[in-house]
Formats: sequence, structure tokens, C-alpha cells
Amino acid sequence: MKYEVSEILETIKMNALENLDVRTVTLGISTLDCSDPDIIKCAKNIREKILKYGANIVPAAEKIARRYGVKIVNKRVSLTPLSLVFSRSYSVDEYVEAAKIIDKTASDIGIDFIGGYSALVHKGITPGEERFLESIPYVLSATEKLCSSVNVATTKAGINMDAVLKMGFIVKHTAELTADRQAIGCAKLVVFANIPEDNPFMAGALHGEGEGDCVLNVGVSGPGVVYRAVKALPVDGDFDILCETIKKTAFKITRMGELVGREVARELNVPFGILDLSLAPTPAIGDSVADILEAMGLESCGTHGTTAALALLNDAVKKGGAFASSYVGGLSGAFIPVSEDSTMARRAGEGKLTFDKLEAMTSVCSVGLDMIAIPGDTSAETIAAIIADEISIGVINSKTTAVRLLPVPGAKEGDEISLGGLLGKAKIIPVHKDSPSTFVRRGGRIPAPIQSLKN
Amino acid sequence: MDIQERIEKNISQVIREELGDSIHPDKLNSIIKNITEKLTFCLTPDELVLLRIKMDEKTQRELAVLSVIGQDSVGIVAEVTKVLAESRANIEGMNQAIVSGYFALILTIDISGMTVSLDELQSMMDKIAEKKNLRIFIQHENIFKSMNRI
Repeated sequence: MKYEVSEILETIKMNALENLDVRTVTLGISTLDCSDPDIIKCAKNIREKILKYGANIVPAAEKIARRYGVKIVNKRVSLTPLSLVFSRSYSVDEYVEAAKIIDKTASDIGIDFIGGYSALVHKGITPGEERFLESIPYVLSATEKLCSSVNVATTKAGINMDAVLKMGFIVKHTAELTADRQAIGCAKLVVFANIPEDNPFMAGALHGEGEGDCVLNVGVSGPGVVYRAVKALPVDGDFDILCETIKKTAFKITRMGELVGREVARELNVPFGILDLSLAPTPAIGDSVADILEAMGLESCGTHGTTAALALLNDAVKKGGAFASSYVGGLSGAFIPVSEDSTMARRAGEGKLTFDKLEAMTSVCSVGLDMIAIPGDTSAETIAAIIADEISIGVINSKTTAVRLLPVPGAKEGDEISLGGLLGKAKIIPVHKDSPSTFVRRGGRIPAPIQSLKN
Repeated sequence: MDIQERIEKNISQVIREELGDSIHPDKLNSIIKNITEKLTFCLTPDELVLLRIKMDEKTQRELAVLSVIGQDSVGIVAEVTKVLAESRANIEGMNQAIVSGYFALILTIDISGMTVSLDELQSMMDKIAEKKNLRIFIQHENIFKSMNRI
């Protein structure tokens, strides 16, 4: 036999029992050549471009999934930030109409999500972008699969606090317009610092301006596999063994993802872009990042030691994964999306994992304050201040950070919301009540930090 | 094509690529003959077998791993191998083990000459799996190569 029985059985165990899968294959498509002064014509051009490259993404992914016995959970498309493609200001109705055409295209080709209703406003907002940003709540409430992201800061440019404040109101407005669906619109809206141009994960996926015409990016999953590997270690095993075990497991997960990504790219006849080696949890039992932290020896995720455990996990995953893939990109770190991680959601609901602890954790992993349900009466200014805090962590540490909050209208601390599918469920957790309003309303930009002066 | 002919063909290809048509055909043939003779004489019979295996791997085979896992019962191997034979999938390796109380049969099969697609073979195996209360996985070997070999 070319392979040991143990090697074959280990792979089967990972796939069949430990939820190892490819979380997403995401086809990045440039829509810069789709621009037209008539926004409806522009949207139709975008539809044609998506159909040109992406019509077969679902059958291609399913073919490769069967060939290797590996599940590919989501098939997605990311587009050039549409604020760049929609060439001037339009009415809200026009934006919504164009968005519906793109959303329908996503449904027609059978993908799960499409990203790119996005704007890059980290240094300033043009009048066109201003209108575009204001359309986001309406677009997200009128579409199913279209996702939106807004970059409000970079390490090089500093933080556009006008954009941060605006996003506080936009998040709030999106929640109100989708109040009948537990603020699901907010699950499709992310506010970023240092947004990556090749991220395959939603809701923040977009196809950067520096990318080619079309590229296939892949995001792996695998917390279940890492959890079982850590769980199998002796409880008194030292950190050396712990880190080595995670690295070796991450290596295998990444190699599998890279193989599948390259094969799907070949099937679609497009170049392979990057592999995002993020550990992405799902609400399935046993596929939780919080479980890994607890398996390391924490009584509950959120207690003292959680940040150190997460830092260790994130670093070991990167080291194992970086060696396994030729092109690592996207976010590439452990995710901590509260509602999407069953144990994390439970600990947050129990009050053991607090909002402030989550913020601390984001300083050592990707990506940020993610999928956190907060009381519906949280003010737009408080949401803006939360965004400012999180974005500062990214800007100062030259990393990507992001905020995806759900201020569920009418919901109070302890209420539970259920979003279904990969988005999971979570209880509403409290935020600080004292007002940051005067601070966030100062206006202007927070300058780029001294770390950015590298030339 | 025997091993000597294949070596000759490969050497001829390399020389032609390097020198194009600038070399006289008779000269080319005499060089190839010389090299081939020297090569085959310097190999032991065992090394020749290894060389043949390596060349076979490069040129022809496409392998998949078929794993059967579940409760042991009479006739599992017979049913699985019957379908493989009918589908013209050649068994290259076979291993059977009891893992954590479960029966595990692992076959490496050459799928390059199969008369059915991998999907169709999986469907046929699914029927056996359902009847015998087993799980049968067919995975292209590249997944094991990529996860376990550098």
C-alpha cells in the first residue's frame, strides 16, 4: 500500500466525523469593465460577467467534492466594490433595483452568497459614496444573498471617524429595516479596518482592484479536527506538545483545502488565487473554536487565559498552514463569530464570555467583533464607538479587524435570536450604557499611527 | 513497449529537444543505443523492476482509495470486488484491519481504465453499503498524498 491504513482512516475520520470541510470556494470577479452611467444597464453587465465565469461554479465544486470525499459547504462569488463600479450618485430605488438584479443572478447560479456591495472610505467619502452608503440598509433588506462591507480605516490612512459614525447609523438602520427577521440584514454587513482584497469569507468578501479578471479563492474550516487532536492530548502535556499538535493538524487541513481549491479552479478554467487558512467554526456541535480553547484547559471560554489560549491557537494554525499552502491570503486566522460557534454563543449567553473579553480576543486573532447580538436600544453612537474601538486595534497592530453587530430591535439582554444555517443563534449580550456620543461626533479623521511611517 | 524501448524513446526525445534536426539520424540512433546499453548494464535486476514501477506510475495509473468501514459480515469482500471487476477497476493494494471493533477494508484501485465514472462506482458501492450496513468511501489518492506527503 502506498499509504498507511492509519493515514487513510485518519482522513476519513476527519471528513466523516470531525466536520472537516472546505467552508467556501469563492470566485472573485472583476466588474470594473461593467460600468455604465445607467445603473440598471451596469447591473445587467455585471450579471453577464458573473454568468460568464461563474455559471458552473456549483457543479464544478460538487464534482471535486465527490472526487475527494470532501464537503464544500458554500459556493460564493465576490465582486469589485460596487461603489467603484456604479459610476455616479443614484436614488435609493435605483440602487435597490440594481442590487436585486445581482442578487437574482446569485440565486440563478445556485451560490450561497455574493459579496461586493462595498465601499472603501478609509480616508474620505465622495458624494457618490455617501449615497451608496445610505442605500446599504435598503439593499440588504431587499436582497437575500448580497453582502456588504465598508472599509473605514487603514494603518496607512488612519481612521475616518466620519465614516465610523455613519456606519453606526447604517448598522442601526439595517437592523430596523430587517426587524421582522431578527435584524438579519446586519449579518450581511461588516465594517472593516485594513480590508483584504482576496478574502473568500462572507460577509466581507470582495474582489480587490489589484486583482485580475477572475480568480478562485478558498477558505477552509476545521475547528472540529483541531479540537479532537487537542482533546486527545494528555491534560498535563506542555505547550510544546500542544502547539506542535495544532501545527500538524493545521498543515493537513490546509493541504486538503489547497488541493480542493486548485482542482475547482482548474475545473472552471480560472487561476487559483489564495487559500485563507482561517479556522472557521460552524454552529454544528463539535465544530467550535471555543471548544478548542476549553480543551486546552480553560473551564469556560471567556475566563482569564482565554486571550493567551486564542493567541497560541492562532499562531500555531498560521505556522502549520503557511507551510502547507503556496499562496496564503484573505483573513487567515481563527474566527470568533459568536452566533456561529455553538459553545461561544452558550458562554456569551451564560455571561462568562463578555463583550469586553471578545474585544480583547480580537487583538490576537482574525477577524473581529463578529456576529454579536446586542440590545435593540443600543444607540447608533454607541455602535460607532464599538466600531472605533475595534478598528483601532486593527490600525495600530497593522492587521485586519472588523465589526458585525446585530442590534436586534425590541430585543433585550438574555433574549435569544435564531438566524438559521451557518449564522446560528445567540443570546443578546449587554454593552456599556454610558454614552460615547461627544467623542464619536467630533468629526474628521484619527491620523495614521506612527507605525505606518515605514518608508 | 518494453523498458528498453521506453528508455530509448525518452532519450531520443531529450536529444531532439536540445539539438533539433541538427543531428544526423544515424548518429542519433548510435548515441541512443550506446546510452541505453550502458544504462541497462549498470542496473541490477531489482533496480530494473523498480525503474519499471516508477515509469508505470508516471505514465499510466490513476489511483483511488476505496475504504469499507462497518460491522463485519460474510461476503463483503466478494461483493465489493465483484463490482470493481465489472467496472474494470484494477486492485493494486489491499489491506484489512479491525479498528476500534470495526471492520476496515482498504483497497487501492487503478481507475484509469474504468468503464464507469467515479460517481457511478460510488453509487454502486452505496447500494452495497446500504444492504450490508456499511460505509464505503471512494477518494482520489491525491487527497491522501497532499495531506500526508510533502
